[in-house]
Amino acid sequence: MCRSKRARLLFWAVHLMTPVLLALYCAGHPVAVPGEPGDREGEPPRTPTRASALADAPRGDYFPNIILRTHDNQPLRFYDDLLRGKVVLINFFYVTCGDVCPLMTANLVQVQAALGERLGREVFMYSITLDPQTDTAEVLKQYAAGYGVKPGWAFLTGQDAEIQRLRRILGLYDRDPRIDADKTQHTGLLIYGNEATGRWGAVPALLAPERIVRAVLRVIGPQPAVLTP
Amino acid sequence: MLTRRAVLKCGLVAAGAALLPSKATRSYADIRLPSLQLTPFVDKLPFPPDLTPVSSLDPAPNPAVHQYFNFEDTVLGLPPLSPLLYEVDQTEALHQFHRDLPGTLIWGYNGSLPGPTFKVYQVTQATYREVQARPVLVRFHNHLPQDHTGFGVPVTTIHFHGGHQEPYSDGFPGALADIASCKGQLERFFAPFPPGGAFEPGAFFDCYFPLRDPGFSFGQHEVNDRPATLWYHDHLLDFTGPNVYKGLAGFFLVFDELDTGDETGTRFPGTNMRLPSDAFDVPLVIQDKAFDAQGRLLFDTFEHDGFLGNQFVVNGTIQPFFEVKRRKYRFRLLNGSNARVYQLFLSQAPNSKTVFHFDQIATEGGLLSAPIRGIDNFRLHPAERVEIVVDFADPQFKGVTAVYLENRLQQDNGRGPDGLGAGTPLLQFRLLDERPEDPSRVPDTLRRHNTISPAELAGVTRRTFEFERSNGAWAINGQFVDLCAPVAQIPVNATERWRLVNKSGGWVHPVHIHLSFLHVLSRNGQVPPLNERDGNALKDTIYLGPNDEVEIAFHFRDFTGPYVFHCHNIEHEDMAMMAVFNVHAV
Repeated sequence: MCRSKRARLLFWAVHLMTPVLLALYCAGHPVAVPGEPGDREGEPPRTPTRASALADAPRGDYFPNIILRTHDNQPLRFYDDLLRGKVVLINFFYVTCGDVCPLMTANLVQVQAALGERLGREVFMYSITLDPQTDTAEVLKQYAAGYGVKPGWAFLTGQDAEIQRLRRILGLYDRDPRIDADKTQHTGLLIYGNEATGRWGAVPALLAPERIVRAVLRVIGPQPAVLTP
Repeated sequence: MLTRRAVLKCGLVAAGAALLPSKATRSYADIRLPSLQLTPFVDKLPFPPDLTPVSSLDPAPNPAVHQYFNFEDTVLGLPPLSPLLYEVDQTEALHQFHRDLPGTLIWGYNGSLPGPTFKVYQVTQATYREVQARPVLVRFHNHLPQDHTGFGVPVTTIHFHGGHQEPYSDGFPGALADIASCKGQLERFFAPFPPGGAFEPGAFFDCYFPLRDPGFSFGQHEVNDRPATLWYHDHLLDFTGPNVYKGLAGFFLVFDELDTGDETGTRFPGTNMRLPSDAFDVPLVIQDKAFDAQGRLLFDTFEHDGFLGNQFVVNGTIQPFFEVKRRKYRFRLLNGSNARVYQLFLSQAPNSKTVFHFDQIATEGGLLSAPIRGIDNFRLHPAERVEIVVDFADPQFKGVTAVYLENRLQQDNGRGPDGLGAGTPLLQFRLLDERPEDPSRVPDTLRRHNTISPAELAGVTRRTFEFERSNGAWAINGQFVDLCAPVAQIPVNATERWRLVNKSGGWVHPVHIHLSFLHVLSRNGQVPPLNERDGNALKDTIYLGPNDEVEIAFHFRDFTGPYVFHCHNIEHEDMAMMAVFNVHAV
């Protein structure tokens, strides 16, 4: 009981701290934005530059802000709480999916180990169930405990229709409705990305763990990730 | 409090709509590409600039990292030849895709989209004598923005697609750090030569191309195994798709004593085929892209099937026009798209029943044994090249003033194309009245390819590679790419016979194999069509349609080290549909 409370606190702490750290980082690294309207009064905006191409993108309008529940039974908003400003790894699974999902979860356990202290600080992992009716928060809690899941990796459940929508928005779907109805077809890919910089990729969830970690480090930028062996 | 403006100032927000895949290509209800109505044929067909060599590089290239850098060809009697030096800078730049679009930020070699064109000669006795042909060394600088946000990763590695070159200069897709992670395997598999790799902003990397006929290292120069139209493009592991889409691709044209670049016949008398040259030798790279109203490039990073755009760009311009005289032209067509397949016609008007005839003279592996005369359409899969000669002086064009290069193949997702249907004109040819003297020819024999002999195929190693879909991911023989674990160990100068099988249901995969051109022995148990058949053509990209099975044979000559083969639907490639083979010394 006490342990899980601490885990919950940790989970919240790391999630809430990221924007603060980002703000601190920004404060220390002011970057001029040439051509941004209002930089200098009376000057017309210049022809497109990097900076003006950065304009007006409310990022949240793509990702749904649906409520998901963690394996610690905490309700969190997908965009605001789980995604915004973070580097994330997202996969879909369900507890009763037979041979495939356990392999992938076991692979992600190795990713968790390889991420080490980055997990929950620089990188967050989300495993979202495709069978939310069966996979309640309590079921997920047991499942997570069985794999030794650490803070920074959340197993998530929610409303079935909303999760289906989320899966499609992340590009996990098949145009053939019969194949699309087979949940195992959506368990093979791992989506990874940096929401703040818009750098996203996808790899097989069964790719070698060190390869997955290297792919994720590649999106931690904008500064190139320090690749320490 | 972190305000949006603060984030902007911090440079952490990605490139607006370019970041957001929100209006992108997925064809389910709530995702649509913006449909900009841009007037076609208002911009001239542009040509990327030709590259010229530089006199020196500082620091000087390091011969120790290259294979055959100071190679003395005692068989041909050629001394060690110092390479021609080129310098290319990868930068962000503004590019105008259409008269009515504002400038678009792209990534380009020397800021150009497509990149500048290399025009070089294969190193042979004849070319050494007549034009002092030499190997080529290109120094690529990476000045892409390190703080880049949005799609694309400013770390690069450059592949010379179709080239016969060492792994170090072949654009091996990993970063050096990735390869270093191979630990002991690195020495075991890849020694003694460094495998090359990706490099970061601020760094540079030298690629070396001996431009020698395959087999040169053991005195069996295969003089008919020469390229004509190669291309160079980014090959960064996991991110080739967005990086190529942002503009990192260009032409690399190779000439020799037959295909001379001189239609007058002045140079290389006796062997010169006098194909249309100079202003009448026109490379055309076709790409599909998407833009928002501000002209920003859109890319859907969550389109795992393969990205399709809805604007058609030829040599970096949306639906341009090209004024032609009434004579022969050589067109070198390259499909530089991520996932789209084209079936191209020359029509009198979009969707007109009147289509024109032309000759196909080459494919990826250079000139065919004999031209395929009088065709009226051809398919072009991602990364493939098809070269045609169109004679606008031919009677079929009498009274015709406009001709359209038109794609009639329907495709609405990355899975693969459907059938023929309503066409999209990509390029308008405006036929001038001018009928100049035309010294060019299309001989009945081009570059003669011998079929691989049964004796050579007897007893060679056979391998089968199945291209599969596995729980929504793509795999080759059930494996995902591991740069440290070659799927085949091959002794140098061996020949092998591979079966490429597409078992991924309705998906299609254009499969590209590095290092050598491929002899296509059979397609679905049948003799392959002329445009890929062994004895008439050589290929470097093999299209696998649903359930296709293609048999190829090829040599692993001269160079040792790791090479990749992969699906050239670049989104599939980026999601690990790639494998490594290692050529080792014997």
